[in-house]
Amino acid sequence: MKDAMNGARAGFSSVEAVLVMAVLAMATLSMSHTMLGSRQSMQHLREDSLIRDQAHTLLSRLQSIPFGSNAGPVSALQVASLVSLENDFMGSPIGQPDPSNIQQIYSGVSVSLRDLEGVSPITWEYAINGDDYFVRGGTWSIIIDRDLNGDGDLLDPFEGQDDLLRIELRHDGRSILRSIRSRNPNE
Amino acid sequence: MNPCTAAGRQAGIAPRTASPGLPERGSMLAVVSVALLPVIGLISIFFSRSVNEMHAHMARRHADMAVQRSLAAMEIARNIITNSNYDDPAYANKNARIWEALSRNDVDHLRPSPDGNLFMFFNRDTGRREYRTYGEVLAPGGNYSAYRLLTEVDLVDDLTGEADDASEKVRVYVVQLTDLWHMLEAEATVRGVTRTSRVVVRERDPFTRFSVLIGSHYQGISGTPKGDIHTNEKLQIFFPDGHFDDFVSAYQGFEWFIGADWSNTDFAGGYDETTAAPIVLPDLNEVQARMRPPVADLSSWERGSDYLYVGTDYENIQITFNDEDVVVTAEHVTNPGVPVPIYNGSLRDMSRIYVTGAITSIEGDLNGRLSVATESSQGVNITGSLRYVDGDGDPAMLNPNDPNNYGPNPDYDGNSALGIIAPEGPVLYDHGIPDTFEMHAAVYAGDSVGLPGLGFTGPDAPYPYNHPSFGPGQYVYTYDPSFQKQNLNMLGLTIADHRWVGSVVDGNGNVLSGFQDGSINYDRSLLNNPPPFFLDLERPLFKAVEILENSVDI
Repeated sequence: MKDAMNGARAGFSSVEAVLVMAVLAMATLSMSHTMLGSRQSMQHLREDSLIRDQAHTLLSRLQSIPFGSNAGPVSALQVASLVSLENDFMGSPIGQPDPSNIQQIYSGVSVSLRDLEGVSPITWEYAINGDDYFVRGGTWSIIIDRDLNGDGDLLDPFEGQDDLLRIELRHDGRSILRSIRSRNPNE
Repeated sequence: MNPCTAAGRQAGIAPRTASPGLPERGSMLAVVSVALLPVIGLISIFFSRSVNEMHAHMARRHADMAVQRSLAAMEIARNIITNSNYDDPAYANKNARIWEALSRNDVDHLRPSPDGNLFMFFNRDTGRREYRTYGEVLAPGGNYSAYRLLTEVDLVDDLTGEADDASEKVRVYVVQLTDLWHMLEAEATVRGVTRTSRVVVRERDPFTRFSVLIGSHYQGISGTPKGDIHTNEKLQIFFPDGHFDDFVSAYQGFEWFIGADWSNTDFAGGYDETTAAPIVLPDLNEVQARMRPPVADLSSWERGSDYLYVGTDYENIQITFNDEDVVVTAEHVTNPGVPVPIYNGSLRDMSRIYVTGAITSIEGDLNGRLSVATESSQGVNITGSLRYVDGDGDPAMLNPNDPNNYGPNPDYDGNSALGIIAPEGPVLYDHGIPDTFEMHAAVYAGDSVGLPGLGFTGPDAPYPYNHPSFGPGQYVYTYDPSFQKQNLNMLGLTIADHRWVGSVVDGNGNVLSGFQDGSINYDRSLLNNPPPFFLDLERPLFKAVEILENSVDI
């Protein structure tokens, strides 16, 4: 009876219980924090990848339009068409939702690189009535000029020529892609 | 009774305390510690996954930057070559910048092997890189060429202030492949990730890359023509759903007709609505400089090592191809109307027929490669079909009576190519050509090509067709109604100063003059293998951009 009474009385001390709960709480918090951080990182990477993909799409368009000889006028609609998202079913960046929900496919624009140089930098946001609809929003810009290394002057080799242009794509001021385009001999 | 109360103490009941005889047992911490292990493991997995994803993402970004830096350097190299002159006495008729680089043998301008002990070569037979000694640079073998430095580009540092970082420089090398073809390579490294861009360049841009090139007239196109198309005037695009695989351009702009517009026309190969400059067609001086053989007597005729020349004593030259042979007759100026034989023999080793008089007849089946040129302002009169055949007599194309199915003959294994060049005159179809007519040739005319009897609007036309409101070649104001044929089947290209017309139709689509039907095929083999002595432009032609990873060979 004494042994039974002794076994019935073995257990956790309150200190142990508190310690255990504290350790479990810390572990849970750590795991939650890590999972949250990991999720945020993955989300950030995903958005960064989407931003870079769109930058690549825009760069390929800019590489395929004619080089041009003189800077001509560029309308807002031409710019909107140039920078539109592929299969943009939510509407165009000019803020007019497509009521028929028809997917918009980029089909080229009748501007040249020299035309765009004349209105550089070109800035826009993917938003309709203030609501962002592409990644976390942000301001995009295309810079087309003759400052090939982007250092603010035209003193470096090959800079200042009218047949050699820098093309740079930025998102929220951060350079995403940068390239150079030379006029083709047949242009 | 509570031992802690006075009564309890009076009763002698001792308070219950933890009995010192009983062991303190607490296994919870151990259990929790063990239970925490998988939790720690999970945390590690999530954390390491994030780190791995971040590393992969950064590697992709660095690869991206390396590609863009390599391509940017390549663009600068292309710009250097494009702006090069072709009249440097040291490199006669060659691209001076390319040959300036190819003639350098100093070590600093050679491309080292990865270990730095040898130099990099390109083997033209295997298409792979090789590493050889400096001695082989100075005494090259037959099938390999050394890479040589064309330019070094630094697109990162500001030369006015920052220290140069050698890793940010991109060197562009050039290596000779053939007489006219070269290869450029630009290798860029960003944070240990290397990407190489590679481009091939032909020193001179062959006119044969155009399927239609018009010098001073409007030109109309529709459907799905192949080959580059250009006019120095306006390009008229007809009908919707036009698809152009190659580059389309005009010096004065595009015009849209019968439903065609930007939204329903696909310029898959690129376009330029207003080019920076017109393309100047070669004149007689250039043709003479490039094609006229080095004969002693310009008035007589001469069969040379690779040519047949018929000089100023002869006119009304007639040329008939018959497989690997050719028959050439002409009328001596002292005896007009009486053709005399000039040459009847093999085309072997003959790459040009150059005459000063008008070619009043040319026709036949050709198994060979040559160009035929005339200095005459009367140009060339095509009197019969001109077809490519191989050694077995198989024609290059089948189904001439069915233009919708006019296409390559799988049995044709020849390599024939014919250039017809008339810088001062037209190249016209004679009334006597067959109803189903085949024309296999690359044609250049300083006047018109095709239908006889056409008159075009423009400043040289009679009143009122010379009104300023009419563009040059915008409309046909006169035609030959007696020229009525069935099928025009072409394999080749047309370069002319005046608008090229296959049919003149009225507003209802009725053919007023010309062909009822036809099949126009661009001979793409002429791009890389034009007829001998056919003309080219003094500007480079760039082709085939590719990106290599870490200098892996093709």
